[in-house]
Amino acid sequence: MDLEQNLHELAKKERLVVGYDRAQLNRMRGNIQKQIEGKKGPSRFIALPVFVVILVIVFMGVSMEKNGIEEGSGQNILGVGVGDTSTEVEPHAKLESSPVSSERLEKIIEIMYLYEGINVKKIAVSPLIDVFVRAEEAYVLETAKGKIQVVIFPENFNAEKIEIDEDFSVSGNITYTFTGAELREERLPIKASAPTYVFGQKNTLFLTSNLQLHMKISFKLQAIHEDIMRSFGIDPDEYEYAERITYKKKNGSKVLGAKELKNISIIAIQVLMEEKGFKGFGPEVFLKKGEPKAIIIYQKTDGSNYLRQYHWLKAEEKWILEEKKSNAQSAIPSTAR
Amino acid sequence: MRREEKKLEEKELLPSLSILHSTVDASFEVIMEKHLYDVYRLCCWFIQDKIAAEDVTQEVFLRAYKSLPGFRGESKVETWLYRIAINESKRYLRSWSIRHIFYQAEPGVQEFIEIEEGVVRKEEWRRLATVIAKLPFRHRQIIILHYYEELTIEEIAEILEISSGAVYTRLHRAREKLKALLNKGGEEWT
Repeated sequence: MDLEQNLHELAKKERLVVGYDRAQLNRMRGNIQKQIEGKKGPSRFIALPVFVVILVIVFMGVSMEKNGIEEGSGQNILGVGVGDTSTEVEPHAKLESSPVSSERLEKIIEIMYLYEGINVKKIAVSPLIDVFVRAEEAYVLETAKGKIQVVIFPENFNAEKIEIDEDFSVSGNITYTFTGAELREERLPIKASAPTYVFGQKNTLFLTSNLQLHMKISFKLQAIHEDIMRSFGIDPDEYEYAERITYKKKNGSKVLGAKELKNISIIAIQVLMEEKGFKGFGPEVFLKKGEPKAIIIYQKTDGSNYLRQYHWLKAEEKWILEEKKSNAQSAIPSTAR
Repeated sequence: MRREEKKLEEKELLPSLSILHSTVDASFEVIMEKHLYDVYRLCCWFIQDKIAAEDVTQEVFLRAYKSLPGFRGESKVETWLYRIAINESKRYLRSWSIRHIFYQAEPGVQEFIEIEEGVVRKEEWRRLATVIAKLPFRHRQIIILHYYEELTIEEIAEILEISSGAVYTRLHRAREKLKALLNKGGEEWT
């Protein structure tokens, strides 16, 4: 591998990672101005205040969580850990027996893991359940990379319209509330130790300080895979993402043999090598539920979708290509969508 | 008579001081508008934690504000700001409390994405980013300035206040160190 070339390419990617966020820059500018005017205290990373905050959390955390959000107390629900209702979850498969889990949450956790490798270690009921009038479920998911709040609303509810309204005006006391949903005012505002980002996906709302990009990528990739399959008239529910098989295997479930999986993965890599200079999503492998069939799908940046369908020939122990499809001519460039 | 003259001088000085202050403020506003994002991005790369990078960026501009009246324009504003940013990032990373007590984000890879490019090289880049994050600060800073910031050798030399030759040497050593670390994992990087 060429280090020089990879460094240049990595640099290109890294430049995109730190996006230009006007609101964030304005907030920083405001903070700087306030500090210049002598209205703001020292920055957050100075050891003593942080140490004091940690001590307060250690001594007060458990009792605060037992009581949920105090009325108008501005409690920090992302920063404070999980309380008595939490469940240790390792590995994911054990979630099924968790008293604070649900089928909808399990699906979310699986998507996070499959697409971005985010491993949920602990689940607790989130106090946000009492903040949103129409919330049906709310959880705090603890991962190695940070915490995520998940609020699940009824199926017909549009969580994407919910926005966060943060108040940074008082030094060391960040609070926030929401717009776009009916709230229990007596539970507001909520306190935070860092800026909080919200991300709505259909009827589910996510809150996090640092994992928003992972969440967006996870759901975007999942949606793209489903779109590709549907564009060829395939029902996504009939297929299982190969990554999921690997994931189930890790957790001891008996699924498709290792040889079949390995061989189809090699074919997927060969597909990629055939497509010189490929740019886009995939290729990804999906296996038909209950049948020895597999598809390899991918999408190019011009929006064209590609599908290859295979079946497993047991006698020869190899995958046989059945069909190759593409909608290249009718594709709409992805940049235009 | 001399006391009156002095008072008069002080009175004459007052408007000029206020002009000086307003000039500093106006200049600072312009500098902040123009360079806030660049400095924040640089701090993000060094610190690998966006929240901490926000704090460090604010610290950089506070320091810049304090030093602005003494800034003689001997170097470009961005060079001067980058120099402060590097020092502040280094100070943050060296902080005993941060390194030993408080949580630090996993280096380099937290929000590494490549939606448009497909996933095939994801692991390669992820590995490279992780190894870069593990490099000693003097090597990492040269990689970041040269590759991420795309600064010339001369610009880096000015920021780090070293000779161009020293920049070349450091860059070479950083690449060699990177290769050694990457090849340790059984991969062949050239």
